[in-house]
Amino acid sequence: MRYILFLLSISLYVYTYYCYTLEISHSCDGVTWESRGVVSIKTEKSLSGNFSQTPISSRLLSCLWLKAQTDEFYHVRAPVTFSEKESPSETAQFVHGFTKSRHLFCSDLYDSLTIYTDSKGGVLSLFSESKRGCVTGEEWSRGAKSQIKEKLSTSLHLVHAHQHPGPEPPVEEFLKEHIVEKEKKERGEDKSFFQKYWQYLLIGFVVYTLMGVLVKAPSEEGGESH
Amino acid sequence: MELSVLRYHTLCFIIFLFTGVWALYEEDIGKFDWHIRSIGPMKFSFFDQTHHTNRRVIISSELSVLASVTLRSGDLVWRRSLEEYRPIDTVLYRESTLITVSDNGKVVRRWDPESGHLQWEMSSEGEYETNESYINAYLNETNKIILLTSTKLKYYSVGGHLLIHKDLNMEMDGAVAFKMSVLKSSIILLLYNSNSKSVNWVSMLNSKVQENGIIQAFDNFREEHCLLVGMRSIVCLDKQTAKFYVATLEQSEFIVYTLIDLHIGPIDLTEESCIQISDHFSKVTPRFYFILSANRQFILELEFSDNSIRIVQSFSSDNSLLLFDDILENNIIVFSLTSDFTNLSVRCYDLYNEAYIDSLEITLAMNRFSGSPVRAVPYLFYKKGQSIGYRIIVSFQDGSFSLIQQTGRISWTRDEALSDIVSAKFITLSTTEENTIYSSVLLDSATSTNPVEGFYRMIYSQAIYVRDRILHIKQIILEPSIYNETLHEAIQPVQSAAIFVTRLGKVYCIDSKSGLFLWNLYLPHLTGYLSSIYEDTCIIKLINTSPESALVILGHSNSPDYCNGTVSIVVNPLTGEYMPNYPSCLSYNISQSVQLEEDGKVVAIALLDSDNTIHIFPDTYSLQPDTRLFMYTADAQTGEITGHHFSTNGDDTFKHVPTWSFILPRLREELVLFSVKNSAESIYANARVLSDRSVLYKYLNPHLTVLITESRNERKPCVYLYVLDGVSGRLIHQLYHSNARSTVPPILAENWIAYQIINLKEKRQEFIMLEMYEGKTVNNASTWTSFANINVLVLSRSFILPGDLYTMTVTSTNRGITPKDIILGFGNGQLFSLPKSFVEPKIPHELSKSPSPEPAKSPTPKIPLSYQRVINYNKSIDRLREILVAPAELESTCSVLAYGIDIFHTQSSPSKSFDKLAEDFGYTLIIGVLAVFLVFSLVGSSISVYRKTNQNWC
Repeated sequence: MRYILFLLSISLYVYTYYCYTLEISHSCDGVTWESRGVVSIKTEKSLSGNFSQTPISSRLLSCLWLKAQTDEFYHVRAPVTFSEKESPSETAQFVHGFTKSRHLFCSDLYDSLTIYTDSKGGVLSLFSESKRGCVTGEEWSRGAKSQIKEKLSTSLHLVHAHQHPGPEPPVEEFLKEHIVEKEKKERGEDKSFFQKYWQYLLIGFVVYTLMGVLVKAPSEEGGESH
Repeated sequence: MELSVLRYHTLCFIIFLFTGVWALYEEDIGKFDWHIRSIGPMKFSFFDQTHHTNRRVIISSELSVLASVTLRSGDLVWRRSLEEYRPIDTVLYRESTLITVSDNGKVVRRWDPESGHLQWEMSSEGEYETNESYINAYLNETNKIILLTSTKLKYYSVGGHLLIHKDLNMEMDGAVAFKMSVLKSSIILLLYNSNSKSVNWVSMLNSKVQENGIIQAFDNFREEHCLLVGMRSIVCLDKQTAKFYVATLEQSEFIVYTLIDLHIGPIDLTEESCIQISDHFSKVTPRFYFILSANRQFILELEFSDNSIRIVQSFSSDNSLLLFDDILENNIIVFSLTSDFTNLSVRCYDLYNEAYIDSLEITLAMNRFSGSPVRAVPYLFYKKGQSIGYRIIVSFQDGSFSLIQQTGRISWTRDEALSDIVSAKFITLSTTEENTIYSSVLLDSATSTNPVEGFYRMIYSQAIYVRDRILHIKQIILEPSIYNETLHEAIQPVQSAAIFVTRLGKVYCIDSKSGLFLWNLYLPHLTGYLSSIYEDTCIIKLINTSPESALVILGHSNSPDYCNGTVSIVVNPLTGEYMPNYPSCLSYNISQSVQLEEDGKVVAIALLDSDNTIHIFPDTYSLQPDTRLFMYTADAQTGEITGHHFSTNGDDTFKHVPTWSFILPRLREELVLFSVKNSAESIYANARVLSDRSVLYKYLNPHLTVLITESRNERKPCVYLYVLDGVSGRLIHQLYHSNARSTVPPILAENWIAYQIINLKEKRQEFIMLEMYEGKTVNNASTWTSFANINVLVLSRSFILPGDLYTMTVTSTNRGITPKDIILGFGNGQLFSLPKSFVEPKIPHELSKSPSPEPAKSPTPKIPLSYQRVINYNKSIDRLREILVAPAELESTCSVLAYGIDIFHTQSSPSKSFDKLAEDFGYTLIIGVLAVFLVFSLVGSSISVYRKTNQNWC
């Protein structure tokens, strides 16, 4: 029994260590916030998570619609998940993101939410992006139909901000190339035409000279006979 | 005879073989560049009299620079810049021995005063565990260097050998040395034992301890407020109780004297109140200085018989007062220097006769505002008639120092404030109204999209220029008296000038073409505006106000009494004169600024204060009704980068909404470097053509920002790079480098980012180039929006840097037609111009359908830096800090200005001077050849006509 309890507690610890939740809030003015849903994040090997969203309130939707008229913004935020010591200050309890309200309506209330985390799973940044912007006025007016939706459609992206190592000088490649070239030189692959075939050329030259001499000799003999 | 003639000819032939060899054409030296070499504000100074024909002054500056200047003109003879992180503690000089003690007594060096060559160096790195609070050195009559620090006593020979080394801390049971007095071979040391609260004294003769004793310290004992007077008495000043404590070395306790007993009057000891002893006093007389305040000082004398104190002479002035002294045989002359900023008065007091010498009194007018005198070093000498003469080197608050002759004349002045620049910026000056029109027309022609219209405007601007020059010449002929030669000769119609703001509060305007000083201002209350990431910086903006432009400098105030916020200086950029109707102090601290433009001209500045409130400068500027501003602020301490949006409320106020935030884990990462892209830069090309003739479109985001953070874990040093969009807060790219540090701010231009890291594992510096592309289709073709959904393709390449990179920048030209060069500034003061194409990343094989891979211009992993690419030839820049670049008038060239202790300006031509005729272009030859061809063609045609006529007749 103890063993099972121990295993359970260990697995609970591991689960809580590698899994955590973020409550995402949204707002139309950056002042009054409403819950948008909860993101569960697993940080085992690669980041993964899911987002359970709550329906958007009619107040917020109408507020967003008004903001879209004046080309203002839709705001989202997530709590800072660093430990208490690391929490930078009282003012920075949340990371914020935003997008244009108008763009949100143009993309039928479909947005993508990107959460950037560091190596320890702490949220660095939150980025909200509508799937499609309103390039023309027509697209914007067409976006009005999106008001009837009750819920935002969201694609969630979790990005580990410290996963791409920077480039290194290609020293090894260069050295390999250098060694290959050196070996080629040593093997003689890199020799010039004369260096490679000097023997044949020499033979040809000698034959040509000898032929010249031999041809000349009978003619001289012939001359004498003549 | 014949042999001697042969020798003569041989000698002539050999001499003929010696020719000068230069790295560039000799006639080009200094033609397009200028170089200002500085020393820094004076800290120590000595008159070097060993050269009778060419007397010199040896100067050691606050910036750890040792130099020798000529007494005649103040020109540099030699200069040695020592390590910045090892400040010079003290300098000793006697005849041909020049010694410097640096880095809390750790490094002792001897220099040749004539050439400035290092003769020897003794370093005791690792010997000192803690910072020594007291450093004193002495060069005694037996040519031994006695160096006393808080815990060590050392004797060096002038040959560079360590003779004696005593660990005082061990020998004296934890006592710390705080005073030393040397007379010939005898030394008295004073040490303070904080455990037993006692003062230990040790008398030594030839480094052997003769006597020692202990005196019980009093309650408020402070080592720095005590003196050793006449090698036998200790005098201490207790500031809290306004009392003198006196004890001879034989005594075990201090005797107390109140300052009221001295009949000084009402005692008001300030922070600057102290007692000081002169080397000249300590040898021959038990006298010392008592500085009560900046303008009230005394010479006091200690009576050994009863340890009483009397006033020898009191000095007071309504203005700032400085006392210093010198000895000439048996005469000790105390100089009192008073300054009311416009006049400088010197009075000489004979200490033996206790009387002023009226014949040595001088008053001279100061032709510039330099602040109060800070330090002065006199030199007494006998003139021909055995009368006493003197010279004084006086340093002032603004960092300058002057040589004052007894004749009441200032021989020379060296302005050294430029050695410590806080901010610098290129600006464009226009002298007259016509020139303003010319420059605006020229600007219009440059920005015009229609080539015909652009050509017309260019011709029109040239016509205005010619007209202006004719008017100018007419003015010289008709009204020469009112013509300001200096200004007009210096200023061409559209001229680039460099504005420098220095740490000492001095502002300079220098003609960037010639290096001529146009004007300067001294503002004692101005310091750099405190930036959380970089060192102090100021905001320098040129705003176009009607009828003339205004130069705005915003900086931090070093005096809350003067301004408890931001110091604002608004001057005419041509003359440096203050412009009326602008506030000199803003009541808020600035955390960010954005320039507001109309028709491509800066008309106002939006300043964001620490409470996220926007202020418009000048406040007379009326905002457009629908003004929207996106800004962001970065705080290195909290690791927060926050985006803000401001929109007008209908009136002149702004509504603030925080839009995005990027928060670093404060305990794990530290924001160290930050760079922003110049959104107004000209783009060279929108795309890169691949070898298969397809096109890869560049990601030309004008709002790019790069953050470089470092891991705080000392055992796992790591550099993280984040590329952000400054408007939307989107993280565009991020990467990390393990075992690395970064010290140079990254550069951003077009679609690329270049940055440097120090690879701690491989012990080398690396240069990394990132290029960002949108792909093979363009998304933001017409206007840029940060809210567009773009997948950015990032290509990267890393190189080994063959040097110690200090700073870098990228060239910029008027229209961006010229390819860009990266200017790399190295620790040895050299500037290399590296074509950006040399460090471009390779295109991956997947992107290009070409069967062969994209060729790389630089196949080696090391950046190819040949010395032909050094743009400052042998004019190296000491302690290089920053390089500024501004487009020049010609498209092919740009102005490059690099500064550290020195300032260097040159013109760089990344694609050579393709739009400029060579300096040695043969105008005469071309005209001559054309004329000859013309003559020949005329003669030839007439001959052919003649021959043809003849043929017809035949």
